[in-house]
Amino acid sequence: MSQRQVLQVFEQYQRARTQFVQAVAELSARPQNAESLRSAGTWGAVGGRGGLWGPGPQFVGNFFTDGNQEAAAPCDHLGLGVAVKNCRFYKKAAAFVLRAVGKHSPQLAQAVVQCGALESLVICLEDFDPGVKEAAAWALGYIARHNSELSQAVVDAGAVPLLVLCIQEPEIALKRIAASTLSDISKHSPELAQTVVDAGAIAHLAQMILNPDAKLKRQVLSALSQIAKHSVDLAELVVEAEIFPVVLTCLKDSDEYVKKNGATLIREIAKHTPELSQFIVNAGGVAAVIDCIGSCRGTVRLPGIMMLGYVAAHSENLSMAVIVSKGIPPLCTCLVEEQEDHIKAAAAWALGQIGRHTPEHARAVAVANVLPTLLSMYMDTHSSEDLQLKTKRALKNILQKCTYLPALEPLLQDAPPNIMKHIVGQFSKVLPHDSKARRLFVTTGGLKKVQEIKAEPGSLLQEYINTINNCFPEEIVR
Amino acid sequence: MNPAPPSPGRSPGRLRRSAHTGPGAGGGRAAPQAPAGRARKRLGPRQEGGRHHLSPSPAPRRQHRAPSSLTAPRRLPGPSPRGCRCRTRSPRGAGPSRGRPGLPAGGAGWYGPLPWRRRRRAGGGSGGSMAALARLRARLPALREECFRRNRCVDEDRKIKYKAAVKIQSWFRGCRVRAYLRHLNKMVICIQKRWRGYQSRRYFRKIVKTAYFIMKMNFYNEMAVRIQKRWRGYYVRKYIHNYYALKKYLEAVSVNNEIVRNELQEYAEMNENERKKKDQEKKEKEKKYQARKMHYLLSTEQIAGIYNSPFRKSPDPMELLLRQSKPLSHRQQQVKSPFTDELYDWPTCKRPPTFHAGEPLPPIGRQKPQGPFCDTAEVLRQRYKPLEPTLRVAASIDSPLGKARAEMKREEWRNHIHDNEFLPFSSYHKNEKYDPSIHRSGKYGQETYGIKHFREVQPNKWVTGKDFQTVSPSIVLFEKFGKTYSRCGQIV
Repeated sequence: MSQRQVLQVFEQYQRARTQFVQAVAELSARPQNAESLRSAGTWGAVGGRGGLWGPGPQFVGNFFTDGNQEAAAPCDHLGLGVAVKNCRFYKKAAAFVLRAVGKHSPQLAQAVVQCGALESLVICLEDFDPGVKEAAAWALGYIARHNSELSQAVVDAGAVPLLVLCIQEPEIALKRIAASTLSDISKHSPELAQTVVDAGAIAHLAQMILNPDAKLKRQVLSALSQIAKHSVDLAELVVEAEIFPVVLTCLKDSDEYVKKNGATLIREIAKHTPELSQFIVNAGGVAAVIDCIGSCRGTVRLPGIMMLGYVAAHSENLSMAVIVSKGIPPLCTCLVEEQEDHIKAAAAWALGQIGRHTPEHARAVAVANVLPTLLSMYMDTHSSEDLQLKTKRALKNILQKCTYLPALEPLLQDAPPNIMKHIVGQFSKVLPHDSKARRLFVTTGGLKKVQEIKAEPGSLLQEYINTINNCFPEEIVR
Repeated sequence: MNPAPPSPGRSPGRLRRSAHTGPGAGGGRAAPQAPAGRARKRLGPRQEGGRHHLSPSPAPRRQHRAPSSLTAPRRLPGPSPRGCRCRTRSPRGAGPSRGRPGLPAGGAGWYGPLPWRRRRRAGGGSGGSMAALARLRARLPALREECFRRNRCVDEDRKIKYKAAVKIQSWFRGCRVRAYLRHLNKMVICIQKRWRGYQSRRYFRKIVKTAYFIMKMNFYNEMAVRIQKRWRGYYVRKYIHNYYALKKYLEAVSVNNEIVRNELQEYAEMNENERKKKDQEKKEKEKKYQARKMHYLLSTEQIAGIYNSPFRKSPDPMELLLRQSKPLSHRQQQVKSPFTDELYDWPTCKRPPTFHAGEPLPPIGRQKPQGPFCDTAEVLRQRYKPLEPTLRVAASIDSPLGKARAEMKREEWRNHIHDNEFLPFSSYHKNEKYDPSIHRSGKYGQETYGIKHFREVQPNKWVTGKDFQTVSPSIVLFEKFGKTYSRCGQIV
């Protein structure tokens, strides 16, 4: 009887304690209470002897998620507690706290690592409860995100094989987090990516591309692209997992970021060698990417544009394949419509890569009437340095091979001298051999414009002008 | 009286002195002082000048006559038949030597028969001898004068004649030498001409050969260039820049792109349908649930429900739904299965989307006719991999000391002439026979060929036993060349 009474008293105490901590946790969820809570000294009350328990970690996690970067000391308690305590809620909450602490800066993540939290988190990854695994994977992901040393620390703690096991679990959320963590680990260096590949991640990731869940697809594609970007061998491994042509379905997904990550993956693969680009072209990837560019707006287009540029840069056959797949009109619309300078710069660069190989290519680009746009962008004072540089290079490359005179004539009017040199040079190469072109040149007033150009005697421009003047009889020139 | 050996410069004086040692000793004694003094005077310039003034010295002239009578007192050179100023032919007596040994033949040619010899031959019996003696005695005083006069003439002539003779001789020698040189020159020109011609023709033949060779090589090169030109053009056009293959490839790429685009379009449409269907089903489900919950709004026979207004033509669809639905009992909601998002949970599309992209694209025609199947760089690396021996292999089995010893032994063995060990005690070598080396051992002793002579003679092959004889005479003029004087005077 008295025993019961004694136990009752203690139960009351526990209940009151839990209620108190829960109430404080709820209050701390709101950022405006943080200051008052701190001043009220709740930390000591909750922390206290015996460490945090129950919803305590929840409170601490909330305390930290809003950017409050004090007191990494509780991490020690948490780290040990996670290993010791069997309670899965505790583990989840502790992992949540670690994640909250580790996500702000590399120093905090370093502190988390130093107090030995990694081992505990890896132990959590082996837990049966998927929630615990998810929380642990999330924390590891946030820690590994900052830099390659922290990633290496995570890998050294033996997290990667467990993450690969996590990916195979049926829970979608767990899959998502595991894929995101693998992506964060492998993005820093080729060695880390190789570690991830060695654990057999690629096959599982490749299977998950077909999954209908959009967020999962985002993470999976991101992980694959982070693996493939480092070297040719890794890219070939990714390709060998038979992602083509399934990956192309991702480019038609309704989710923007799935399209973006899909395009990123294809871009990282196409970047390395002409053979890989060839493979992608043969699989119809270029057409899919072109359609994707046409249907998107904004930064989502950027990887697709760069992919076209990389493919065209490798060889003239591939460039011709891009042209044949009707790649130039979307790029031109991109150049014109987009507001952001870096996307315009990318489009200009891609056009330059397409048009620089042979006169055929330059003609295809010039016919699309894109040269005046490039020129105006180059001359525009509001354009950024990068955009100006890229448009100038693209113009130079295309003009040096362009023999399509109707496209060159509009440029004669307002081109700066360094571009004018190329334009007039092209005229001087074509006009001596083509009588029809000469007639057209005179009738459209091109000759007059050429006369109006002032050039230093002895310079290359003057030589070109002389060559042009020599094609015509004296009276017309005057 | 004159034991001193004649010095060339002094000889005329000495001759004179010797000339007078005979019967005219007394007079001769007195005489030498004057002519000797004269001779000495004359000797003076001659002596001082040494032999340089004179052309080929009188010594050779004298020596020419030396072999016959060196020690015997020389006779005077007789008055020369021409050019002497004091030329007398008056016979004189008291020839200094009677029965003297005969003059050399050459000397005799210069003079006529000597007067006293003539006289002696002509001399008859004894009667005439007394008269002859008286005559001779009468002539005696004039004899000395005559003698002196003759000597002086001769002396005066001598120099001139000597010089003239020298001049003539030197000129002649010069002519002879020049003729010889011209001859030599002509011969040499002939030889050189023939030799040069031969060399040039040889050289010319070589030049012709090389020019021909170069011509051939140019021709071959040009033909090779033509072949290579054609071949390279063909190869490049067929395998590297195959225009038609590229065209076909690009067409295939377009076709493939179309297919891919269609399929992607279908896929997108399918996705859209899926989504719509899902939404629709969701709405349906919701509606049904609502209907089940609000089944009490169903209209009865007596009271029309809100959805079954009598003023409507037909009942509201909700009414129909209510009629169909079962009343809902509050049972536990089913736990949402974690497998709902599985891969094949699509309502409309039962099979997963497959992608068949038509035929595989044709290759660009890049079948290389032959080639390594591995990466070229790798093959080369493997083929020319440098040897990297392990330390155990690289270091040899023998120790350096052993190797050095073996090396020394080898060197010693190499430097030995023979392998017989030298045994110091003479008893070992006592009975040894001498083994001459191959160079020196022939069948019957040492071979002379290769040591003493190098020219092989095979007498059994000779045609005759005699030596060559000159058939055509040599040039007389040059025969004496180099032979006229003693060897130490030879220049040419």
